[in-house]
Amino acid sequence: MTVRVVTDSGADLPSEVVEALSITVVPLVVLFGDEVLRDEIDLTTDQFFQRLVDSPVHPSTSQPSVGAFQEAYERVAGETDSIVSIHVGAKFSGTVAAAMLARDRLTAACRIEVVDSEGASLGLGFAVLAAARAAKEGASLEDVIAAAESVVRRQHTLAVLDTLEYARRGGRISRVEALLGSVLHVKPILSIKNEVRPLSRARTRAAGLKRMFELAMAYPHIVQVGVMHGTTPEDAEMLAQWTRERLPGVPVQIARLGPALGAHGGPGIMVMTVVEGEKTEA
Amino acid sequence: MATGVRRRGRHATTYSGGELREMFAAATTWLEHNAQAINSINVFPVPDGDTGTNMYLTMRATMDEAYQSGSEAANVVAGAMAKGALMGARGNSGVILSQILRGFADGLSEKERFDSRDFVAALDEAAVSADRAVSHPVEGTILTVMRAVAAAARERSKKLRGNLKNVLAAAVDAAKDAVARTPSLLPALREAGVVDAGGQGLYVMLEGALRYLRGDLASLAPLAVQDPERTWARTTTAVHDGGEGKYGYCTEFLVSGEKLNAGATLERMLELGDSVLVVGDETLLRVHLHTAQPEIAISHGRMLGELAQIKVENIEAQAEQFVARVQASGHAPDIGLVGIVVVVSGAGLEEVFRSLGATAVVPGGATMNPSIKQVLEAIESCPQEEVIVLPNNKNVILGAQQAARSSRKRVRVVGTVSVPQGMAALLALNPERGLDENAALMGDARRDVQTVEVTKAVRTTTVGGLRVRVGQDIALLDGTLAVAEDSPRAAVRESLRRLVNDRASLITIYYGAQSTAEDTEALAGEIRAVYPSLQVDIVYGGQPHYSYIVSLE
Repeated sequence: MTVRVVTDSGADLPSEVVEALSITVVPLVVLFGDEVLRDEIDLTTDQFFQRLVDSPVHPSTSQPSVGAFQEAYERVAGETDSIVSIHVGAKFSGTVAAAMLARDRLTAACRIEVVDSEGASLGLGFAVLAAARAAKEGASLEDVIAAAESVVRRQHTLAVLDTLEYARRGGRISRVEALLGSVLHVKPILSIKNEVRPLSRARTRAAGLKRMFELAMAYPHIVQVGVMHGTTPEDAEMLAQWTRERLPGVPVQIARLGPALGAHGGPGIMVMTVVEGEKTEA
Repeated sequence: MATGVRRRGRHATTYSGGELREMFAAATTWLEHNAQAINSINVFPVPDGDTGTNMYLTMRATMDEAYQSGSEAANVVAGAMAKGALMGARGNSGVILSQILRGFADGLSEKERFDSRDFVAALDEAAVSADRAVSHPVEGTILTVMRAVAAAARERSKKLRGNLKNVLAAAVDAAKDAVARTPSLLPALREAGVVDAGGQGLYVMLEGALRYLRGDLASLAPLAVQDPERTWARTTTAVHDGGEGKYGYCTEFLVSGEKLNAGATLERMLELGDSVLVVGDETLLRVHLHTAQPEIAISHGRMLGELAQIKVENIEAQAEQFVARVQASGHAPDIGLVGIVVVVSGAGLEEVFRSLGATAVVPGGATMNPSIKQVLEAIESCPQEEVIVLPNNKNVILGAQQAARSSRKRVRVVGTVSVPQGMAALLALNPERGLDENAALMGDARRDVQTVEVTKAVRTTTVGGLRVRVGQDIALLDGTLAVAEDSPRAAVRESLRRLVNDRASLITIYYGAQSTAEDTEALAGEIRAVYPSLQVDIVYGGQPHYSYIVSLE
C-alpha cells in the first residue's frame, strides 16, 4: 500500500501541489486574543496579514490540537497502513509533540512515523515534497522517511525581517535582539533551522534582501530554491529572478508565507530556502 | 654632547647608549619646540590629526622607554626606544616614525657602542623599514625625506670617513632639501602651498640631534617659562604627573572671543569634571579638564567663541578600566567568534557601536588619533582570540595595522575611513563565521554606504580647485572635500544634492556635540521635503568637530 504523507499548514505548500501529491495538511491554529481560527480554513492568508497589521491584539500561532491530528490520521488510516507525518521544527512549535500524542492514541491499525523537520515554511515544505514524491513512486516507509530526513539535513532557510515590531510583540527575540542595536533601525537576517540564529544585519530593505540572497547562494551545490513572501510578491519575483540568473536550471518555487512565520516576522518578511545536492553529504 | 671615546690610530670615535639616548632626547626637545609650527602645516582645512603633536607624543613614549631601560649599551637603548615608539605611536606620521626607529634599532642590534659608520648603516635600515610601514609608499612624504637622509649620510661617510657630527650635518642638509622638494612630488602639497609635515618633523628631529652633538645646549633648554603656551604645557603635565583626576577624558581647547570670563568658565568646567585649569584673558582662554563628558565641555566652549586646538584623550592610566567598564556595561553582547574593536569618539556614536555588538571601544578619531598601545590594549581585552579592528578614520588605519601585528591574537583591520563605513561593516558581521570570512564580508559591506562629514574649515585654502574660507562649513563626500557653504545644514543639503541617486533609500544623520536636536530635526524636515521617498533617521552622535555625519544607503 502507498505510504501517505501528513504535514501541517506551516509547510506553506501551494494547494495544487498538495492535491497532486495527495498530501494531508493539518491546519495550525491562529489566535487573535481568545478568537481561535484554523489556518487557511477559518482565515485566509490575505485576511491574516490584514488583521496582523490592523488588529489591536497581536496574534499568536499554536500547534493543531491532538484531536485535529487524530482526526486526520484516522481519515488517512482508512486508505493506507503507513503514514509519515512531517512537521514544523520541534524547537519552534509543539506540533511534533501533538502529532506524537495523537499517534499514540490512535486505535486504527496504521503505522505512523513522526519526523521533526527542524524547519519552517519551505524548509519544511521541501522535505514534505521529497517524501510525498518518494511515496508516490512506491517507496517503503523507511525510504520515505529517509527522503524527508535527507532534505531536513540539506536545507537551509534564511529570513530577513523588515521590522522587529512583530517579533517584539510576540516576545520571540531575546537572542536575536542582541545583534540588533537598540539605537539604529536595523533589519536582521536570520537562519531558521532548528532554532533562530542571527546571521547578519542591514539598514535598508534592499541591502537586507541582497545580503540574504548572497548568504543563501554561498551554500554549495544548490539543487532547489524556495522564495517566500508575506505581502510582497514583487520582491519574491525579484529574488526568484536573481536566483534563476545565478543558478540556471535550478528549480525555484515561490510560496506565500502563512501565519507561522508571518506573525513573528511581520508583513514585510522575506524567506529563502536552499537545498544542497545529495553529493555534498559527508 | 659628544663625549665619545677617541681611540688611538685609525679607530673612529664611538658613542655609548647613554649618548644615543641624549641625542634622541635633544631631537625630542627640538621637536617639541617646533611642534606647533609643524601642526600648522596642513594640506586639508579640516581639523584632523596634528602631525607635530603626533610625532612629539610618539617620541615622548619613545624616550620614556629609553630612560626606563637605564642601559649604557647602544643596542639596548635603541631597542627600548623602538619598543616605546611602537606602543606610543599616534597617527600615520607616528607609526612611520616608529618604523624608522625600529629599523634604526635593527641596524644597531649588535653594537654596544657605535661609530659614524654604524650610524649610517642604521639610517639605511631605518629608511628600508619606513618604506615597509606603508603598503603603497608615496613620494613627497617623510619616506622620501628618510631615504634622502640615509643616502646623504652614506655618501658623506664614504667620502670623508666622516665623524658623526659631519655625517649628521650632511643628513640634516639633505633632509632640509628633501623637505623643500616635497611639494614638487606631491600635488596636494603644491596646491596648498606647503611642505610635507611629517618630513619637516623628521628634519627637525635630526637638527635637534645635531645641536646636541655640537654642544648647542642653550637652544635645547626647556622652553622659556614666560611663554604662556609652555607654562601651560608644564602645568598640565604637572597635573597629570600629580595623579589628579584619573578618569574620563583629558580635554583641552582654546577659545578666542570677546569679553571672555575666566572665572565663570572655570566654574562651569568644575561642574563637568576635575583637574580644571582655565588661563588667559578676555580675548583668549585656554581650558583643560578631566571629564567623562568632553563633548559637553567642548560645546560650552563653542558658545563662548571660536575654538581651536581641541584635544580629547582618554586618560592613559584609565584605559584598562575604561575597557573593562565598556564590557561590564552589558552593551557588548557575546555575539560570536570574532571580537570587534572600534575607534570612535562621541558618546552617542560609542553607544550605537556598542549596541551593534562592538566588543571594545577606543576613544579617538579625527583629531585624537589613539596610540598603538590603546588599540592593542583593546584588542587584548576582547575575550575572543580573533579580532577585527574598525579604525573609522584614514589616519588611524596604519596605527591599527601596527597594533594588529603587535598582538599575539589573530587580528584583521578592515579599513573603514568613516563612522558610517564602520557601522556598515559591523552590520555585516556574521557571528557564526571566523576571522577571514568576516573580514571579507565587512570589507565589502563598508562600501555599501556613502558618507558626508560636515565640519568647520580651520584655514583658508584651495583644495582640489575648491576655494574654502576659514570658518565655512565644509563637507567631505566619502573623504573628498567637495562642498563649502555658510551653514552646516546648507553643507548637508548641497552634499545630498550631489550624492542622492535612485538606489538610495535611507539617510541617517548623526549629529555632533556642537549641533542641537532641534536644528537636526529642521534639517531632516528640509531633506524629507526634497526627497519624499527617502527615510531619514536622526541619531545622536555627540562627535566633536563634526556638526553632522550623514550616511546615505
